[in-house]
Amino acid sequence: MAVEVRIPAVFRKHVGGERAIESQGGTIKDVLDKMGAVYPQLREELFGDAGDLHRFVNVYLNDEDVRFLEGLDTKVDEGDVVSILPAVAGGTEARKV
Amino acid sequence: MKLTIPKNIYEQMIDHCRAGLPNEACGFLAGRAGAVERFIPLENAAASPVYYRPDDKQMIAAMREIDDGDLELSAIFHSHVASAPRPSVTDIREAHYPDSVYLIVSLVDLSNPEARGWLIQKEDWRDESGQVEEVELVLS
Repeated sequence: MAVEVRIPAVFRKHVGGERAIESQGGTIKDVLDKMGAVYPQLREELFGDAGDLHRFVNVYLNDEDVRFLEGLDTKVDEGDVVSILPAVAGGTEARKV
Repeated sequence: MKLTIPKNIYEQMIDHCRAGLPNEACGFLAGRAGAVERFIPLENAAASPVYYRPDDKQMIAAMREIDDGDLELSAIFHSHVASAPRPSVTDIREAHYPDSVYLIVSLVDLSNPEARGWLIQKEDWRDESGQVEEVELVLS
């Protein structure tokens, strides 16, 4: 299954500046593994030592966070779009810098 | 470093933050080379007065809009409803966009909200602490 993987600006240096690349696979894990084999530096950015996605990395299948689907085992279909985004979040706390 | 923001976009951002009360509000400013061109409001999916997390669908659409417009994510903004416009520990821990200004709008004085911008740099983007540097905001 061919899918488009959208790459955030912060990681484009690892993929020759491309905004999106094509990868293959039947699940999110397949897609990211194949992408990681071609772009090992990108793989290092996304995965922890145990092989899990880093907690600050969000992966979306089309518009859905895969953590709310079946995680890395989520199945993909031909033409799906996988988006990788570092988390955007924050907020007030009592202690300030 | 400076970030130039058109006055109408700045006012839209302030209005969006006020409209989000009592919760924190958030969104993106997109542009080129330190000059903001576009205001992209996002819903705070956390719906909290002390935390923000943009709605996933809106955020993905916004990132696509920025790419398709050949723009950059100039700033990620959010409001602090009852504290100063300085990055909190949470803001620093969850900052993963070293090239974007983290713009914070304080709503402590509702009649005169205060916005300040910050770059948050980390050795490794996954680090939970980092260096904070203020960015001058210039209204145009």
